[in-house]
Amino acid sequence: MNLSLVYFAIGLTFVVLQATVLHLASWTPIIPDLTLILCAYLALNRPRVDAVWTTFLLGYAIDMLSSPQPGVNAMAFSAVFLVVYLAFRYVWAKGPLISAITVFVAVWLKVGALIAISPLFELSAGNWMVVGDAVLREALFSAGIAPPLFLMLRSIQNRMETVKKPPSLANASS
Amino acid sequence: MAAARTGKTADSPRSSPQPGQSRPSRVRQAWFLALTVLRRYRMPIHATCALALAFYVVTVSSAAPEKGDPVTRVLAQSVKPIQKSLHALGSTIRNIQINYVAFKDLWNENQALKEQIAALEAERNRLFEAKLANDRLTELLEIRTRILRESVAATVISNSASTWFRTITVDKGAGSGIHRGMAVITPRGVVGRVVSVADDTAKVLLLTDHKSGIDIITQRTRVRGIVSGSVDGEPIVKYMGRNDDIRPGDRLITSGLDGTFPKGLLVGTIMEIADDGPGLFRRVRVSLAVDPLVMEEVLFISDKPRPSYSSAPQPDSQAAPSATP
Repeated sequence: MNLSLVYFAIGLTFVVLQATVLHLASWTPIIPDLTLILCAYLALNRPRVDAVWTTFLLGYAIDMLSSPQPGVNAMAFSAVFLVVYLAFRYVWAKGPLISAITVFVAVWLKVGALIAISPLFELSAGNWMVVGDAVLREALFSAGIAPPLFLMLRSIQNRMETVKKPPSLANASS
Repeated sequence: MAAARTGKTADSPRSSPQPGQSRPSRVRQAWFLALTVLRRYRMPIHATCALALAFYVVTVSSAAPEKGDPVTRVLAQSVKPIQKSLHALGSTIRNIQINYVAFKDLWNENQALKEQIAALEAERNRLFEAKLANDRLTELLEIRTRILRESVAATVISNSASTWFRTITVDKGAGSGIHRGMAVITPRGVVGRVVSVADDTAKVLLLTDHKSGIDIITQRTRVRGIVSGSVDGEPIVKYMGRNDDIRPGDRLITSGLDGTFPKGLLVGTIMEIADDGPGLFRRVRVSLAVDPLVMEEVLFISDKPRPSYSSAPQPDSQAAPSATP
């Protein structure tokens, strides 16, 4: 539970960063979705109930900060969590490439969910190319920064679990 | 309970009920089965619940956007402090960044303005120097037009490198018509004479050198003498008798008798008179009209008259107004 709180705090920090520094400092109009990367990490590496609701609340936090319609990001993030949990947990390979691919797919899933549920995306035929191009760039950008971010989150998780583990178990495992 | 976790024990709820089993035991088995499924698939179930909740929020907020959904209302109250803190934090970060960008812009502008000021300062200095040079050259030109002899203007390029020989070097030489023995003057007065000439340079022996000498007269009483330099760098007037009518402040001008300098050019003024000179003469110290250390342009005067004035020569005394009181 403590680890989930830590991840929730990290997620809120990511939300703030996305709303402030990354938005202003980015050299492209694309803002890397750090929160979504965190959700993908949780779905892959911490398949627990509290991670599900952490994801929901992070999506909802984004809704409260930046979405004109409450719930769309919460739903999109929950859908991403569910799909990543169901699909990628059976991929027994781990590493930077897998994390990048997961995040790349997650971005497409998120935008797909947003388009599906939000009336904001009433797109005409001509705009699909523009949206597709933007999604591709965001997905590539997020996939590019996913491996180091996964490494950082993994190290936090390892440290927290090492601290949490009692000495007897630590000795037994060693 | 352990059996429920594993689901693989002998009395598993998945096994078919016995024909003689009672109704309460069937209900208990069904509950057991349901709990097992719920526990086994709790993750997808929770995720689906989260999806359903989000969908409900979206639906309610879309149906009545002015009211908002109940979840949002509840959450909005509970997370309001966090939201305010986040907003404040975001605003602070944004302000810091905006201030940083503004500061950077100001810094860049400041640097650009400094460079512009430096360039303008250099330009101003250049123009000021050009004006000063123009003034000096104008004066030189005026002298040149007044003096009825051939003349060449030149720029000083170096001073003497020795204490014992007081000379200057100029950037014109034999190629420009300069020859040994020519008089050298400035608009302020006499400088010296040429002692050696190369193709592009010429060396001028200054009046302050102890080997130099020039025939002069006092402007007020027309007493003759020779202005010469000395080893200590202080020029003196030689051959002025004890009965000659001279006094400090008298202006000394060229006499024109040596054939080198035109008559009437200012040489200097008498600064001090002492009676302890050799023999019948007094020792007279002179302040020269020209400071050799601050000269930049000089004029070489030939002994030949200018061609345009050769047909109607005029007296040289009119050509040296700088010596006129």
